[in-house]
Amino acid sequence: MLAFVKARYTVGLIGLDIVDRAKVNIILEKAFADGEASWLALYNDSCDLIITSGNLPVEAMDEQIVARIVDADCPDDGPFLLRRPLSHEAIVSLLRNAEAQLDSSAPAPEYGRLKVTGVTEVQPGEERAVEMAEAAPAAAPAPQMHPQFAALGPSYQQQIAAQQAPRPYPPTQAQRGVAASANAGSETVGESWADISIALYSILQTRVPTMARINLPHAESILIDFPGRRFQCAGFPDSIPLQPHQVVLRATLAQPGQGLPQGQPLERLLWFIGTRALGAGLAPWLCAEDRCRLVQWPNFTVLDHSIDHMRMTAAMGNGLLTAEELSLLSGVPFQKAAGILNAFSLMGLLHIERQPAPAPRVPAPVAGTGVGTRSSGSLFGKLIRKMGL
Amino acid sequence: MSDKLHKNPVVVEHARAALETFRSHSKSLGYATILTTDGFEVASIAGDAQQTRRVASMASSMQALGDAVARDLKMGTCDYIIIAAPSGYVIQLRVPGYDLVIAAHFDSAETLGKALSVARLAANDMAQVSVAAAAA
Amino acid sequence: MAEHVILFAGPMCAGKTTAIRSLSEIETISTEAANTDRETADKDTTTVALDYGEITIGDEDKVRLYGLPGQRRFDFMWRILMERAVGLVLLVNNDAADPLGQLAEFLEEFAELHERGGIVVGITRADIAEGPSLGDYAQTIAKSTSGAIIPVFTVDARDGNHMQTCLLSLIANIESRAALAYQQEQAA
Ligand SMILES: Nc1nc2c(ncn2[C@@H]2O[C@H](COP(=O)(O)OP(=O)(O)O)[C@@H](O)[C@H]2O)c(=O)[nH]1
Ligand SMILES: [Mg+2]
Repeated sequence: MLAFVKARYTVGLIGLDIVDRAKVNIILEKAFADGEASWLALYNDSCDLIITSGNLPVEAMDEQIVARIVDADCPDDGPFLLRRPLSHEAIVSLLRNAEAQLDSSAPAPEYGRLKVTGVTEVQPGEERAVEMAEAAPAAAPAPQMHPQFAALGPSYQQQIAAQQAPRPYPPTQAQRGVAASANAGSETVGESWADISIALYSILQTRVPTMARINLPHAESILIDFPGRRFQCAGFPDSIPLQPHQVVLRATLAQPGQGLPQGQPLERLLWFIGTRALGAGLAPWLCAEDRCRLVQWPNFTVLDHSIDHMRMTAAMGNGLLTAEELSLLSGVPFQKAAGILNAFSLMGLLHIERQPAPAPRVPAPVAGTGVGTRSSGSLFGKLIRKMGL
Repeated sequence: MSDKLHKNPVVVEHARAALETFRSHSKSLGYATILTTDGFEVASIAGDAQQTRRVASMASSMQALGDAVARDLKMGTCDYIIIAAPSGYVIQLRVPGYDLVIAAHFDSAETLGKALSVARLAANDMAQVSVAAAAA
Repeated sequence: MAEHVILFAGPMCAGKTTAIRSLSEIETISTEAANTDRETADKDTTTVALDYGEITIGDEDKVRLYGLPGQRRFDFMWRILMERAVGLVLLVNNDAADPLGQLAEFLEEFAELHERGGIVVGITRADIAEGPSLGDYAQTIAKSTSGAIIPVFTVDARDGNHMQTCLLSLIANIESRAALAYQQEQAA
């Protein structure tokens, strides 16, 4: 659901459990739709206002406001405190306070106020989570961390740090943190696909209606229509360098009627970036300890896939696995397992359980026991040999 | 010509009459159905409605399986199919010139030869329905 | 010799007969009759008993492909063939009147196969009709199977590679489930 109203400020939801996050989302969306607030919700930490829970350490810039959600009996007080149970009024009043403070401070010189429209979609299942929590507060399910940027695990931090290591350019990234590049109307310059992948991922996660262009030196540019889930690129994929020395992603807000009239399915590009262009390891937003499960099979008939991909996908559809486990189980190199997880997460096909995760739902996989990895016995193995695949 | 034979009143009326004549020729006729080759009931005598509809579907499948076997063995098309069981037979055969099949159940009092010949008479009777009128 | 029976089900015109032709190594056996129900599907003939094709692997395994008639009046054939089946390729044509409803109906009808083996869903004729999105189909599947992850692809039944992808993912999923169940058993 996208409302075409101008948003003046952005609010980032960081480290909230699924119930709080869903509630805040629903309230924000309603306030936005009713014209009570002009805030855009994102899942990154470079927003004007960050809403987080308890006393989770959040590193904020001077001009950023941090609001915390606390239990009803918490003795603290202040204009940026939200008490459970969250109410519409409390959140709207928080936004008002934040607006007042932001309006009074001059905008930081190196970036202008975002001119973006739209609000995030409530993820399917979130409303239910709220209903469940409200119906039976005592027996509410143990809160789960939201996978995206929710718990900033150590490996995530390391990867971010690696990303922020000094580079000849780009200033925005170095100063504002990688996630800033996700905002519509921005430009991200990187030296590799991994550098711009966070921006891509963030656009996909927040579902702000965005048009983007990726420029690569000596190669065709790639035009992306996110709402239409299409892209155009002459000679794709052969024309795309896997190790360009520069990648520039320019994102703008989609205007009505601006979508690409034709093109290839976007999943094909995301699959390519995830499995081939991101390099040897996990994407910056994935941690080695993350346990992942497939929520929907990729549309393999439009993707350039191998038998290993199919084998891994089947495993992912039936178990909650880390990249390492997936690689062991399917008998493929870690790099390949990481690649498919990168692609699936870009494509929005993964459910991720971040640490501290519940006890593994599957016993530790025995290496090479996945589909068709043993040469005899498996019909899958026999068929692929028969079909010469 | 094959369009909606089971909804064409001329065809349905003719089928009913043919089945009535059929019944008058054989006392051991249990029930009989005329159906389209794709399994729609045109008319039936005896049997409850649900059963005759079901028999129509099954008979069309049987007929097609018979055709498939005959074709595979290069025998041409399948003229009729007989299912013999301890307490009777089912005979089914094509109506010449139409996408129609007649399926009939006899009790074991009838000899197979007699049953087959009256069934063939009924099929020929059904084939007399005017093409022009049926197409109308 | 082991036999592996795979069924192809779905509404009339979904491409079941065509899909089996695309996959089979033998000349397929088909049971077409003149179609008198042009309102439901505008085509000359319709399957009234079954389609049959085969893939033989060495001298050990035979994959038997059975296509079912799409119309409910032939559901007795569904029952007969379901008994031996390990998996189902469920095809739904994107240009059907209510493809999501059809999908839900067939999933319910073949729930037993989902329990026992596996199902893959192929959306056909997406090249000629703008129907629901793959995500819509996936949601319908999730609703009808209490959240199971069933492979769903857009396919062209005339394309052998597409049908191979369907068949392989079906078998990969069945075997993956079995392997996991086995491991859990061992662990318990
Ligand atoms: N354009 C197009 N035609 C298809 C596709 N799949 C099947 N067909 C055609 O659809 C028609 C119906 O297919 P058929 O196999 O008879 O369907 P069945 O009733 O399920 O057995 C045939 O003419 C096929 O060639 C597809 O993906 N695209
Ligand atoms: Mg057919």
